[in-house]
Amino acid sequence: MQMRVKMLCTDAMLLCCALLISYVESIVSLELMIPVPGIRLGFANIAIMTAFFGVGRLHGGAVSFCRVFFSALIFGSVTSFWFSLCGALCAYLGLLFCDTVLKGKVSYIGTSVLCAAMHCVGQIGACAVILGNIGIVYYLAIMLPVSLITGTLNGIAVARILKSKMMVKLKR
Amino acid sequence: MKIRLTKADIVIYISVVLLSLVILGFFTLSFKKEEPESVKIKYGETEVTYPISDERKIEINSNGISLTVKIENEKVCVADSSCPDKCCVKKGEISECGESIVCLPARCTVTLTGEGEFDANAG
Repeated sequence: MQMRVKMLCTDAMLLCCALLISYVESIVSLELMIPVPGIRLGFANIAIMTAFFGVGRLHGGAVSFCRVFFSALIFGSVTSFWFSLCGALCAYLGLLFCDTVLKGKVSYIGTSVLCAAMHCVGQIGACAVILGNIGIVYYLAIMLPVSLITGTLNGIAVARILKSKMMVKLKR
Repeated sequence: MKIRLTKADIVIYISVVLLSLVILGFFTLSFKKEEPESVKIKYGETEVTYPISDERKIEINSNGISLTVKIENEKVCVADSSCPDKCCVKKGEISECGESIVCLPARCTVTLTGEGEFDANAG
């Protein structure tokens, strides 16, 4: 029982972190440095990966979905909800792939890079479908290399957090 | 889960780089160095085409958002938009064939094409 409460609290805390990070990122975005519309650092993925590897697979999915839902509700729109949901879903598939097929072979950094890349692919895919314009896929050529960098940064952060004593205590 | 970089990580890195190179290559090859001739504006179910040699401002109302597309000196830009993020305005001018400006909230795309087909009433 105590364990379940602990898990719930950790999930709630991580969800808050993810929401806060998404909000800050929407104000201070990477667009200022790299003039590509919609480019993000994606630090919210740190919280989601922490939930996924630190608490449990389903917990990661739940935090990810709630983040998308609440960020659309608080500071987004219906359109942005579908884009984010597609991106988050693809990123989650990437996480699952790394945790099952590549289990034990891949590090947090590789997982995070794959997630970032999958997130880009998902979002751009959703854009291409909704707008009916395949030309947007061109953005991927810029966004994928950027996702390598942001993914690496996120991966290092996730590895640090999961190694810390606080997270170790949570695991059974 | 490992902490340090592994071989599988390198494979992921390389495949992401390869994918972006493939996309880059595909689009550079398909956008031939032809001169852009027309501006295709697509929003909702509507699609209109204007010659790029025009000097004009086009007002669009799509998905509850009003956009102003400006064609000037063979360059196209979104001069103004009522969307919240203004990504389309920040994108600036486009002048190469195949380039496009996208406004996601308005579900509108502006693309430069090499085909010289215009609407009968646009000339």
